Amino acid sequence: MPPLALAVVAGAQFVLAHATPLSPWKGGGFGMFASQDQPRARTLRVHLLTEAGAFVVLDDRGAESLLAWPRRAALREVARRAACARWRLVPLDSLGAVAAPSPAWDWVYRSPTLRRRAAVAGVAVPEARGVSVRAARAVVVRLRLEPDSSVVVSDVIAHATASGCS
Amino acid sequence: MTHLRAWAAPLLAAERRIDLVGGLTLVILLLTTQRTWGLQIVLVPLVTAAIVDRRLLHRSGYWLATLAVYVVGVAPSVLEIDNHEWLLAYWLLALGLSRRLPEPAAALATSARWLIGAAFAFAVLWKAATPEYLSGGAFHGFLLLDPRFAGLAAAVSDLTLADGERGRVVANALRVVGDPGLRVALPDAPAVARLAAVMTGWTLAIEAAVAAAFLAPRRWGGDRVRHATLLAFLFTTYALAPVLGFGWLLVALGLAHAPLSRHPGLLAAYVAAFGLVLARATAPLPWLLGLL
Repeated sequence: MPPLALAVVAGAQFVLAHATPLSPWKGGGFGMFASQDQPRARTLRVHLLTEAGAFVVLDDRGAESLLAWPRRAALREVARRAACARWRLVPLDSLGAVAAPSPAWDWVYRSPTLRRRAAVAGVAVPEARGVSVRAARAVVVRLRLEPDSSVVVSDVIAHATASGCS
Repeated sequence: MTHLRAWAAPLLAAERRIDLVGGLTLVILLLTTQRTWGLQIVLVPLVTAAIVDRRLLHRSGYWLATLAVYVVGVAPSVLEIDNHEWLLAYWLLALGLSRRLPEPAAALATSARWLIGAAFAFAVLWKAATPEYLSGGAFHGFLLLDPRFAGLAAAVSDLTLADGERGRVVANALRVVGDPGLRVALPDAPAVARLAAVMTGWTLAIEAAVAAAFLAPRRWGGDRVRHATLLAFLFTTYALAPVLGFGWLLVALGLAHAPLSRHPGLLAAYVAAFGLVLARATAPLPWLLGLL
């Protein structure tokens, strides 16, 4: 019986990894080291189109399950939540601005540590100004080495968009 | 040495195998699985109970309860668990079911055989169906981008550990902020690509050999070939790859299947494999190779 269970899971994982963006490293475990497409080579970006310009939100800590299997419905929900969240611009990093999330963004992250950090960032920047989001796009990007070369590239493997807060 | 042999001798008997294999399974369960507090808070008392009274290891109910706790504990993060954590669930089920049968040691050995054979067969099928793997690109990428393989790339080529670190920083920047279509060259060396090709071919060959040996009828080679291939996989793979959980679980399955009373040397071989997996997982390869 245990080997039968193993075979059923292996078959399901193979089908899902080839038909959907499920990482070959997850969901059953048989594709580890067969491909570079592991969750740690993926990242979640949220593009915000606001009245103050376009911004990219970068922080996928705690979103491991989403990175392992970025289903369209889950990404659409990320985009919708991002569009509905209240954001503040914080002039912190090399991009020129970072959008500091309001508590509404917390659901994406399951890490209590990150939630605390986000809250601290929110109160530590009194000069931050609020912006309203017109549209949000959640994108999962994968890093890979091109065949027969030393060149690394990033590919978009899944995305979803939400127009405003609805 | 004589004292060691005398101490180990009782463990060679089939009826005592569960003490050895079950104890190792509990170590794997505690040290190499998801560290969710909900799982740990129930697992620690369960494991402690078996330390206090090892007769629990002989009871089907103990293993099925451990399986239930484990499944409930990892269910919320099922998309995050590694391959050995899946195999561990099947193994806990095998431990529980085998204790209900008239000859539990033989039943467990049979389950171990089929689990090893099937796991390796599916791993081989997956690699054979992945062009990225067959081209050598997967291992080339691991050697350049995965810090666990950085020491190996530095050991076989004129790349330095600093080159590897620079490549990973650039790659990470691309992953986080780079536009799709942007191409960035990493520090590389021909020897790294050659090593990737060797690792690709060897891994496929040794995994196929293990699968064939364990799935084929005994008359096609028997236990000697089965354990020779599995030990060859363990010693060659985990000398390079720091993968504690899967390495130890294969040692547990190998020990459950091994005819230790006929081939007592297998116990020493698996104990050595256990130590190698531990050493590689806890000590960085550059240090082991004297590069630091």
